[in-house]
Amino acid sequence: MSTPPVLCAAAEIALNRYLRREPSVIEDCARLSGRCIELALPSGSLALTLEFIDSGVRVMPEPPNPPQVRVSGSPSALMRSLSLAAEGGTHFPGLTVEGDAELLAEFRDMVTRVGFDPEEWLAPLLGGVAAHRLVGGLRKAFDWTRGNTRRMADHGAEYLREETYDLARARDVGEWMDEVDDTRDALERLEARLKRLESGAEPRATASTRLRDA
Amino acid sequence: MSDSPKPDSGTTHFGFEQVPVGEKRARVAGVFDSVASKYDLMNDLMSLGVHRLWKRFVIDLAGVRSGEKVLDVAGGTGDLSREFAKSVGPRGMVVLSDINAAMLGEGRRRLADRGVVNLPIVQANAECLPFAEGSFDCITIGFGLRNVTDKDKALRSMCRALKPGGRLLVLEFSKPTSEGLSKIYDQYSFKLLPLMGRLVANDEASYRYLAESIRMHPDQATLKSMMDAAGFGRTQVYNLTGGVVAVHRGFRLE
Ligand SMILES: C[S@@+](CC[C@H](N)C(=O)[O-])C[C@H]1O[C@@H](n2cnc3c(N)ncnc32)[C@H](O)[C@@H]1O
Repeated sequence: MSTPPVLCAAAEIALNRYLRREPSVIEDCARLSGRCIELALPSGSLALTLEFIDSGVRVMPEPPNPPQVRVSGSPSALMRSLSLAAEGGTHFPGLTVEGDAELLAEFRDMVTRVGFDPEEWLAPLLGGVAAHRLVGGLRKAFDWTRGNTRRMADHGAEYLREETYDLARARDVGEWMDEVDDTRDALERLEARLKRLESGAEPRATASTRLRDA
Repeated sequence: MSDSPKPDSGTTHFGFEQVPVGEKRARVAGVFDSVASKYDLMNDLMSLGVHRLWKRFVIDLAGVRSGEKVLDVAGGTGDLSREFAKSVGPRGMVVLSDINAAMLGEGRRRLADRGVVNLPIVQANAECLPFAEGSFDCITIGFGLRNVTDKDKALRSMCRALKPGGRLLVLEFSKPTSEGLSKIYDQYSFKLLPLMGRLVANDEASYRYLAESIRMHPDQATLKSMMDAAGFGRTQVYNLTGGVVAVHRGFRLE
């Protein structure tokens, strides 16, 4: 399954904020412009593609062209291989790498140079603050399935909401519809009132008419 | 698919009405002349405040960097321009443009109120932008494209004004992805919106036009293919609020 576009957007925004901290890293992005890395969770449960561009990276649900390198593994293995403690070289323990491992190694070097924290990056996707605390445990224990993928998308939405993005989630849409209903009811009441006022049939007007008549 | 006016009949849509192509621009201008002063308030009411979040998403996704040149097309009262002005810093530049002088006047006033004064303001039609080819790193058009008579022409004109590698972000009402939401949304925009227009801005017709123009606007897939046809690549659709609004981002690749 490809990653929902809005989650790709969140990943791109976060990653670029890191990469842009370091001008030499942006120069490297520009040098690698057009090359793509596809990152996938095991059994194709979730995939996204990074494409280097002059100003950082673009993150997309699908690779625009065949990617130069395709990497898959569990989130914990992906995190480990990108973390500061990762070994150099083109050896990526726990990951399946097809294609240009050098490109992946370059990406790892770039993200470590900007002090990129893959846990922080993935945490929102894994469930925000709670996952952040759990990350140690997750590293060892998390077993990725399709169900978890859905959870991830949902929690990604939670994170985006915190970032003030508005996202389509069933609950949101429900809330939004309720708000619309409430506002519509309020306005309909107001309109009815205005009509009654205009036609002189508003209760207060009736009362005063009665007084006058009396 | 294309959303250009029909050349044979010489008409195009203005909301649900068919009007002569030459007339649409003036009719749209009438709407925005009429709503300019209450525009921001109505925006909040129309979207229940959510338009601020949609714009936040566009700003983050645009990822404008210090020193970049940004053009805000159909920028109206300048919400997006104001944020971009912060990002580009003193070495960069943001141009606020719109076809309508009343909206730009309102924009200038609002930007000045917030201390943004050195920003060029250009009255221009999105269909034929008066900028040299390859002038901008980023162009945005927020809730503007649906008002443009020849959208294909506007997309080509924006593509041309971008530097190679530059990006266009289109923020526009779109098609809700679920039927339930679609129904509610119809009620909202055809009943509530004109009513609010009447009560708040004393201008029901303009807000009825806004609701109708939203319905006539191409859906996500159509707009994506129009962008691709206009010369954009890596075009991606981001649905927000269940597709009530969508952001399309495309890049001028060569
Ligand atoms: C709904 S407002 C959006 C303003 C602002 N971008 C925002 O998001 O709040 C639409 C704007 O499109 C402008 N507009 C309509 N037709 C246009 C055209 N052909 N070229 C440029 N601007 C146009 C209108 O004058 C109006 O200011």
